[in-house]
Formats: sequence, C-alpha cells, structure tokens
Amino acid sequence: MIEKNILLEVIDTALSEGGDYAEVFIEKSHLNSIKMIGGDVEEARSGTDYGLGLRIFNNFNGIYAYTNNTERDNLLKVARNTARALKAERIMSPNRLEPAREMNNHLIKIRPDKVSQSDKLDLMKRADQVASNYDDSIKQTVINYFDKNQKITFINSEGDYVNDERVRTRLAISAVASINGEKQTGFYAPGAHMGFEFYDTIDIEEYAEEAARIAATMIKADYAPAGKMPVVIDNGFGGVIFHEACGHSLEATSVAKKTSVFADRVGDQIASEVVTAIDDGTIPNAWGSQNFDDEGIPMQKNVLIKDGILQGYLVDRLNGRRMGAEPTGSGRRESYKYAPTSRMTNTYIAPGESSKDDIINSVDYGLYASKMGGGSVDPSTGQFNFNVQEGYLIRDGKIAEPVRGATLIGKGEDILKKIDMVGDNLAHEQGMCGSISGAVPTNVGQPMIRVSELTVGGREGGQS
Amino acid sequence: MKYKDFKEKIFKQAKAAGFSEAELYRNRNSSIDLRVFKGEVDHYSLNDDDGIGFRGIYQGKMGFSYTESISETEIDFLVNKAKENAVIVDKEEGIIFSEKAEYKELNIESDDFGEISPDDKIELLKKAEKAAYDYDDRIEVVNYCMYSDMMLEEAMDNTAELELSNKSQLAYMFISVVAADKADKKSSGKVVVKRKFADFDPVVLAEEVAEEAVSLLGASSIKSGDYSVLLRHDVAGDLLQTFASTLSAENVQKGLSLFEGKLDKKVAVTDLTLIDDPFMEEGFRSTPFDSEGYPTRRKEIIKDGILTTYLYNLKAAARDGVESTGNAFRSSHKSSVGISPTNLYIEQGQTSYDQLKKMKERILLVTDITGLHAGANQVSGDFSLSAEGFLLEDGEIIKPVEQITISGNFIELLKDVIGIGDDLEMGSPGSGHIGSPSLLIGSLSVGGN
Repeated sequence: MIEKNILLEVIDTALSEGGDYAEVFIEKSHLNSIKMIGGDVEEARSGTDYGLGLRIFNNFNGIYAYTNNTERDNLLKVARNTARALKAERIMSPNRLEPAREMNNHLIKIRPDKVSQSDKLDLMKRADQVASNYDDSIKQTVINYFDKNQKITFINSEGDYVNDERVRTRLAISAVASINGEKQTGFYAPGAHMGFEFYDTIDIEEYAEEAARIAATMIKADYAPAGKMPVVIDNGFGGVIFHEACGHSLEATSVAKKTSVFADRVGDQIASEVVTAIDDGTIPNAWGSQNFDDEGIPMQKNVLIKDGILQGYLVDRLNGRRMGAEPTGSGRRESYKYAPTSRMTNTYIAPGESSKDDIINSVDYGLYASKMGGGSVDPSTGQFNFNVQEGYLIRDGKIAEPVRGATLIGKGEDILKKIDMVGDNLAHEQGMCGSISGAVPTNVGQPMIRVSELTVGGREGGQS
Repeated sequence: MKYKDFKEKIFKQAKAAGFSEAELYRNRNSSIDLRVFKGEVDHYSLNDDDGIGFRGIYQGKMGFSYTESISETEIDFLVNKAKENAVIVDKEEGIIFSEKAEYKELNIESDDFGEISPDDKIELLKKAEKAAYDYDDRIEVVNYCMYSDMMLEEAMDNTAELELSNKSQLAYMFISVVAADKADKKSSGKVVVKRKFADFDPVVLAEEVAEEAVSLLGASSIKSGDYSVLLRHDVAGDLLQTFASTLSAENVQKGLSLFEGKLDKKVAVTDLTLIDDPFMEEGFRSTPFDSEGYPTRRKEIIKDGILTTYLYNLKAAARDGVESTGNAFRSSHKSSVGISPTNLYIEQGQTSYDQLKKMKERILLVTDITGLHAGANQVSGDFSLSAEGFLLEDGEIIKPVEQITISGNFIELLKDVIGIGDDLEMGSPGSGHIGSPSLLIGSLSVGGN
C-alpha cells in the first residue's frame, strides 16, 4: 500500500529522539453493510477505511499516533512530532527488514466484496421470511448484513514484516414479538472469518426461526423471580459469562497494572476443578481468528485455566515488557485508530463430562438460562452483570415455565468457584467485544454449566 | 488532491452516473489522548482523522458510500458503490435538503486546545492522580486517569449549492479509582467535559471519585423487594441516555420504540418536562443546523407529562407528513444519517438532593448502574440493571449496598416520579448530550438476597 522504503524511513524518524522500538501498522479495509427492517431494505453502505498507525516504545512507555494522510511528507512529520514527545537522544536505529511473512490458515473461497449487494439481499430475504412468518406474535424483523475485508501491513524496528488479510462476514437477525403493546426481542447473529461460502455451511433459516421462537416464547412469559438460586447456563452464547467475568481480568491490560483480581496468581486454584478455559486464535475460519495478531505475531492457542488452576494471561508487546512476559499473539485493535492491547480471540470453557439431562435433573429449583444476552464487567472488582434473553425456571429437575427480564449479577472470582458441573456440548457464538483498543470480533463459548448459586435480578421480588 | 477539486469532480461524475442530487460530508478531527498511571505517562496518542461520506439520490433512492483515502482513485469507488447501494433500497424516499434556510447564530467560545502544551495536560493528570491517592489510604489504585481534547471540523456541501461548516473544540477528563480494605474492593469513576482548560479542577474531581469509592466499601446486598429509589442525577441521566433512541420517529415508525402510539398521551408525571435544546450554552451538541443541513430548534418533547413530539430527520418527517425537527445526526463520515437528540435533559425541579433523601422513611439511593447496553430493552422499556448505592433511613445513610438489581419499565418509572431535584447536570456527550436532575421513584423492584 505504501512503499517499504518510506515505512522504514518513518520508523527511523520515529526513533530519532529516543525510543527502543517502533512499529507501523497500515490498514486498508473494504466494508459493506445492508440494513433491512420489516422486509424492506432501509439502507446499504460501502466504504473504505484507510490509515496508518505509528507506535514508539521507550522502556515501559508507549506513544501512539495515526493519520489518514499517507503521503511521505506528512508521515515523516507525524513521526517527528510523535518522537518529540520522548524528549531524549537517539539510542538505536532500526534493524534490517526480514522478508515479508504471510500465512493462509483460514481458507477464503468467495470474497464478499466480489459478491453483489443483491446476492446478499437474497440471503437476508430468506432469513426475513422465516422470522416474520413464524407466528402471529412476530410483528417486526430487523436483518443486518455485514462484511469486511481488512488488509494490513505491519513493520517494526526489529525487522518484522507481516502482511495479512482478514475477511469476515456476519448476518444479524432480530425478531420482535408484540402482544397488547408489550414487546420482546429474539436475536441471533452468526458470523465467521470466512468468505460468502460461510452461508453454505450454516442453515440461516434455522437461525431466523430460533430468533423468532425466542421472541414468541418470551412475550408470553412472566417476569423472572429475584433472589439467589442455582443457575444453569446453556452452551454457546452462555460463554459470555466467562468472557466478561473472567476473560477481561486475564488480559495483560489490567494484569500488568495489577488492577486485576487475578494478577500474580498463576498456579493458584482460581476456579473449581471442573473448569478448563482456553483462548484460541487459531481455530480455522472462526470469527475471532486471524493469521497474525495486530502486532505481527502469529495467533496461538493459550490455555488460561486448567482444572481450575490459573496457567497464564493474554499478553501484548507493551504489557509483556511491563510484566516480563512473552507476548501470546493477543495484541488486537479495531483499526489503525487504536494502539493495540491484549484482547481475547475465541474464548471458551472446555467440555466436561456431564450430560445436559444430568445437569437439569440436579436442580430442585433454579433458573435455566437457555440463551444469554449481553453483559459487562468492572475488571478492577470483577463485578459483572448479564441479561438472560431466554430463561426458564427449573422445578424438581425439570425445565418449567419461561421467565423474562432476568439478569445475572455477581463477581468473577466467586462464580468461577461456583461452577460445579460442566456439560459435554461445547458450542461457540459470535460477538463484538469493546475495550480500550476498540471493538474487535470475538467468539464466546462453553458447554452447558451449572453455577451452584447466583443472584438473579428479576421483577417478582419477595416482600421485604 | 485538493478537496475543492475532489468535490467538483465527484459531483460531476455523480451527475453523469445518473444521480439527481448528491452531497459530500467531510469531518476532520485532530485530537490528543493522554493517560497517566502511577506518575508516569502510560498512553500518549496524537490523532489526525479525515474522512468523506458521499450520499446521492439515484432513481429517487438514497445511495451511500464513504472513504478515508481522499484521492482521485476513490471517486469511482464512491460513485459506483453508492449507485449499487441505491438500487437495492426498497423505497424512493431519498431527500437531500435543497431549500434556503435561516440559521441561528451561536457564539459559544472555547480554548484552542492545540495551543496548550501537552506537558500542561500531563501535569493536570498527575495532580488529579496524586489527589486521589492522597485522599485516603484505602485508595488502592487510580486505574484510569485520562485527558483528551479535540478539534472537530465538519463541512457539508451538496449539488443544491448548500455549503455549511462548523468548527468546535472540547476537552474531556476521566478518572476512576479502586478503593480496597481487607474485605472489599470498590471502584468509582467520573468524566467531565469542558470548553476551557482552566475550568478543570483536578483535585475536586479526584476527591469526589475517591470519596465515593471509599464510602462504598463494606457494601452488601439487601433483601429483595419493592423500594422507593432515588436515582442520583448521573444515574437518572444514564437511564435517560439509554432510552433516548426511543424518541426517534424512525424507531417509532418501525415498531421499535416503547413510545409508539403514545403521542399526545400521558407518559410521565405532570411535573416532568423533557427538553431538546440545540442552543444550550452548557450543551456539547449545540448546533445551528443538523446533519442534513436543516435548521435546529428547541422543543419540549414531554410537557406537563404529555408526549408532544418525536424527533425527526427529513425522511422520517416525510413519512409522517410533518416538518423535520432538525434532529438528523451522523456521528462521522462512516455513519448514515440517523436521528438523535441534541442537548436533551429533564427540566430540574425545586427540591434539593438532600430534601429528596428525606421524602420517604426508607429510600434506596442508587449512585451507579451497569449493564445498560444489555439489561435495558428499548422496545418494551423493561430494564433490569445491576446497581450500587446506599440504603437511607430518614435521609441518613444506613449502609452501602451492592450486588443488587433494580428492575422496572421506563414509562412506568416516568409515571412514578415523586420528586425532581434541583441538581441538573449534563453527562458526557455521545449521540446527543444528555442530562437529568436526581429523580425519586415511588417504587422499583429490587433483586438482592
């Protein structure tokens, strides 16, 4: 995209006033999206994201700058201005550049930017038909299509030179059920680091039907009870609970500063023995996978917790320096507009030995969270909250009536110890994870789990 | 390539491709982000953004494309993609504003932050961080101490010879701390936004945040049940922000708003007035024209408890056969034109915050809510949010409270406001700049033990 020699000149200039490491990240991305509401296309968009991010390290400090104007003169000006913030003398010059590295671990057959917008529309119409015709309670549908082809070049002062391409596509289906002015939403959004052939590997009608079924079920449900009780969380998006309540606290971003509850605890039993948790950026064509991270390091499979014992963290280059730890291929960013930091990729709780029936049958009275919604966590205290998109009460070991409006709240440290059964039905689902380096695609995943006790927020409280 | 040449060339090419009208929107920002951690500069970022959004009407339908690479080679991409996108849109509802209009003149002054040395900005952060640590031994860590300022430039041009531009500057400061004792950890944070550098008071901000975190230590849950709940002004503002998009006529038309069918009906207590004011001096979304170039105006969206209007852009207004309210909004060159409030707030009442605390024998004071993006449903109005705060009896703090949820329905809440504070404060600007006074709610369901 930009001549290699100019990039080397930029790196050299960046090191002219101190600094022991410099890197540039250039991105050119093509994006397409289509929004359909109630069966009508409201809007279709296409665009080009383009720019360069420059970063300089001086020991434990990092300085970042970005620009869209990649003409040589402007780039050198940006490099000089950025270097000036260090206020020191040159201590080193960049190494000779190694040959460019590329990997192709995620096969892309049909590039989405080569598929016409009207072919994408056909896919959306199929989903819309199924969802809107599910039953009389479904009064609205929203279908969003998205694809992105991100091409990046990464060069640093250590001689690393990486080219990578990330192709992703996703279809989000929302169905809204309405009865007597009350409304409930069901949502599914399958996606992958794959070309348009992704939609041949899944049954989009099935997802649309599920979204509609959730909305149609929940609209007829009563409010969830409030209070502490055992909670069974089903597979797939249920993994959001581990992602939020634990995964963020294992990112070097909070571990290096020791603001995480899990800092300095490698080797400790932080979860119950049935919990093994993994972050794996190498799963072929998975939504959160890439060949390289955004710091030019190959993605890898990182075991975070094994049999309840903390094994390690997700580490980026800068926090790795601060922690004295090797980077784990976890440096990610939304775009050139963000300095990369340690982030999750495809994170999941590994499958255990219990069957689904064993888990449900083991609960006398509790909540069954069949499908989780979103959530958030304060990494410094581990306090989290999640909403339950589709929930049921469990009575006498059997799934009973549906309940709506439930949220799950607690602390990451506590819940990890209270996971006392892990099922054998691992599944992954897609999400966008927001943090200081922007929104990045991540998979969450787990088999069905049982949490022995959790606070459920609902509306039907007892009297106080 | 010069922007003027780019503009002329793309308009010409758009006409040749069959577009009846076309518009270019450009936003350029330059900004600095700084973070200090334990006396050291932890993050230092110089940002320079430039992007163009192209919109054009082809066979009555709106096509859209954007780029961040302002070069001649992108002109083909922008025009061709916008045309391809217009073709698949269902309805012929494309409108580009082409009337001559009068615009109100706003004289809102701000510093030129680019002229202030980064060292002074770093010094501000170091002062705040130190003040937080000095406040109490139990402040374990100041996990975020951030400063950011930006110059925003917007320009809009169209083939109907509209030429508008706007420049503004503002600065943010954010601090968050963790307080810890042997048994507990609590965090607290606050963001402030200013137009003048001298208006930042790092010590006051740091101490306010530190005090809150320390006072929450030792918090525990309370029994589940129905409580009178006092939403502190910032919490009430966050809740209003979460449901602000439901005022959009577009969401109402699509059946995606809890306010559907509620126009001219009672949606709140009589004392409650909700105002959208694009000319407010303390508002950071003040502007004489909206993102379609339409003149903005002040309106009372809820007056004496009655919903008087939704918020409109040109397309939504045409669908309902009304005039635009000047609430077209795009967050950048990449985004399409949606609908957003400008400066939106609940008008303050006469009751002081301290008086509100005493209005009921037992009150749950909520000072923080989380889970807004997931635990609040814009369509049904139902919310269930994780909360922190204090249990009050006769206005006095009995104990700090955590690990609870407050649940209810937004419209039911607006109809159950039994006290409105005199302490309106605007929050941090996002899609709209939103604020509220503290609100006392008669009864909400609380999930705890």
